[in-house]
Amino acid sequence: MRILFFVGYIVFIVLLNSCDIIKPPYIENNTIDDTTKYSQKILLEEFTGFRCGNCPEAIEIAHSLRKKYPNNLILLSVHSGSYARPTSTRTYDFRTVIGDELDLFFGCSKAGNPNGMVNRFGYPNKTHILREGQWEPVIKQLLKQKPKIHLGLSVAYNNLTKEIFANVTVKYLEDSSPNYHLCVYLAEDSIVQYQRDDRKVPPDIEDFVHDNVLRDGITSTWGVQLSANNVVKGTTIQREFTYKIPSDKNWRPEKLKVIAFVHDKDNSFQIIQVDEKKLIE
Amino acid sequence: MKFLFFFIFFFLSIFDSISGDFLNNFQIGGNFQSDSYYYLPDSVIESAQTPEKIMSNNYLFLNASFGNFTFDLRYEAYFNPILGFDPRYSGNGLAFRGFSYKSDFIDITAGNFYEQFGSGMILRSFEERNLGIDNSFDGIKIYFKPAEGINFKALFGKQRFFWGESKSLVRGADFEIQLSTLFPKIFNDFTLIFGNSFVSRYQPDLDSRFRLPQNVLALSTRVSAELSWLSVFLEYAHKYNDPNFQNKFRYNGGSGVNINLATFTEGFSFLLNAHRYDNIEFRAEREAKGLELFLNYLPPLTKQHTYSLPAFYSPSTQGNGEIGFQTELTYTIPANTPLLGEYETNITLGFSRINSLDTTSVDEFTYSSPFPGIGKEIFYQDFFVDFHRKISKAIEIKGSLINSIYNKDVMENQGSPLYGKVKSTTIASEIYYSFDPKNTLRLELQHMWSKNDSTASSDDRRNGNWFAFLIEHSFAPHWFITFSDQWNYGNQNSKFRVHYLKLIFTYTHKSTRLSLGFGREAGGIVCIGGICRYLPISYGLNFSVMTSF
Repeated sequence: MRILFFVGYIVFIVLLNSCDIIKPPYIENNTIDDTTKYSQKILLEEFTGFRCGNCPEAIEIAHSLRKKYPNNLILLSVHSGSYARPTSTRTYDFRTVIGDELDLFFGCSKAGNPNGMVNRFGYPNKTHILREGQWEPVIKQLLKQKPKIHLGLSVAYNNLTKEIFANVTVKYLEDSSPNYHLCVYLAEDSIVQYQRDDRKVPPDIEDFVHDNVLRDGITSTWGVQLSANNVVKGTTIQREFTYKIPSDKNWRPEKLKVIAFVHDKDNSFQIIQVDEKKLIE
Repeated sequence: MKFLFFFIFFFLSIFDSISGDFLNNFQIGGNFQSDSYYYLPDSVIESAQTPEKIMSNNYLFLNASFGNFTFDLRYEAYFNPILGFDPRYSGNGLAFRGFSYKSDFIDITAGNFYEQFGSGMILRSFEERNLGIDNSFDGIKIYFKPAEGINFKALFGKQRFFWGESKSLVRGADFEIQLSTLFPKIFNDFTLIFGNSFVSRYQPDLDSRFRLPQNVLALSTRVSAELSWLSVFLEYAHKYNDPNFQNKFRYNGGSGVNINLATFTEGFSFLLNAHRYDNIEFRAEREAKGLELFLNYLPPLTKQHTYSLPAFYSPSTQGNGEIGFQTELTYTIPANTPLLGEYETNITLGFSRINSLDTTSVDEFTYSSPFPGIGKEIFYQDFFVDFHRKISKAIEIKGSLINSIYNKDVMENQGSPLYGKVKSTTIASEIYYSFDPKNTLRLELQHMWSKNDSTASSDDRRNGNWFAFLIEHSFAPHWFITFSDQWNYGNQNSKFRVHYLKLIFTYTHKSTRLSLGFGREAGGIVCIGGICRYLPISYGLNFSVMTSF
């Protein structure tokens, strides 16, 4: 019996120490003045097509840049234009409504694939469409900037209902106009499909691995407005999104990722901040 | 040379005595299960397709014991997981290995183990293969029995997460005192058991947005009393603040109450179960979702209907908040009652009802929830009558009438309005006819009237009226042939009014069962014990083997 009391005593002590009770505020008190703890991230939207023979080289450059800036560069591959149009023998269609709308607005495929936009920098001065060799200098230049906002992105996936939940917290590190819009897109990695590569003989690569492929928007192409009024430094705005994977799409949840970014709509259209999260870590 | 012979003789005699001992005490057993599917395209039902075409789940369980020692081992191989199972199970390897030592006083397990405290409201680790759930622990478990009637359990471990482990640590203890065993003279013919458990989960707070509790504690207390004609079980659980993905990061504490009551008299049995769950779902990680990392188990308040059509609308337990009850009355009309002949008749009546909780949001992170607080929204309701009777030596009949209301939005659409509530009534009957001791025919007929009350048309493959039949012929002792159909002839969308035909051959030999099936699988939500998973619509061939040894 003595041993029983001893065990009971131990359990009681453990009990008292095995719970943390959190009292409000429930939100972390991050000091908003300290901009050094937030890093600027860059989105490289690369416009490509599976029939574009020069594109694989540009894709390789994008991948090597990602390796060089692993914490600051996010890639998105937009298949659009004539090179992305399926043929009678190559029927797989990478195109998306959002990709086509972006392409039409920014005129990327018209300028000849491959090319890309780095945070859409240079718009509307018509210097936004960049060849693969021009990407890195712009990335370097933009990385020197102090971040204007911080994005907190968390995602979850319900395997049962095939629903994606994305929660985005936008923290303003500077005062801003109401133009800031939040876009949330969906991309998939490791899609094994055909790609033309003119550096190879024959140029047909049947099992090319397509990464960062834009699949759809959880928001519309231009996103949702974050605030109807001017926003003061220090404000935090939170938005939640739910998206159900369409039943006719065989996208693999373990390869999907959510890309969220804030852009200065109707003004410079420049991307202010971006982040990405895999659906299943 | 002599020396060598001596050594050989010496070793042989030692080996003989050890192996003799060993073989006398050593026991090994286990089982094997293999399920494989060959998926075929079917444009009519838009069947699920996989690039692998053939997929297979395999499990081999071995249990070896030697005196006080036991060793359990389970090898699993998913090449790749059959559709409806989480693809993260892909691969093969040892999924379970546990070593235990057992004596009258202490029982120690190291490695993998399963455990349940009380009814499982704060801790239950289990394997439910048909749902793709295996949340075994990897760690240490100690049972401790200081005296007959006093049991103490303690465990430390991490939960299995597909082929890895949870990011959290789980610590738990359970104390149970059986007063009736300790004081048999006072508790004559009366069993009384008290139990207390606690479970604590540690997961570091790496979130930059929220201030999260790293240690979350859940406690429960229970009492169970049993007489020859009555049994009562009560359990109350409390969980301290556990903001998580499932409860949308609410900081409220959680609570759960379970009441089970059953009485038996000659011919009658009556049971009443009730529960109130408020934010009591407990998982091993706060980010866990779907069928991942259940730390506790919340039993449902409804009978698991055996017929396939009413089973379409089985409710899943809503751990975030629900309140309900279930009653069941069974009466056995004795044999040789006038007009009813020489065989007995069983009739069961049942009713259950589950509602939402009446909660009011206080702010973004908390809500108030008065007790008992029955909310206005119906989650589930059913009323059923079951009838079972043997007519003659050769004929046996069973029948059921089931009327239910199923809140499909809550069960299958995270509560957002889409499908509405499904009101359905099913009539099912089964007839067994034995031609001779070796040949038995079973015929099952079911009809379900069902309607969704949503104004939006729910363009899914499970709505409106259904008809189903099943014919099974058993040629004892080896063969079964089953042919069945489920026909959704009343689907709102005329394209979905299709037949789901299936043919299955089953062969059994001693403890081995082989089956080969071909046909369509209607898919949808499949529930076992209040936990549900999604099964895709498929078409093809399936082969399964089960054996135990």
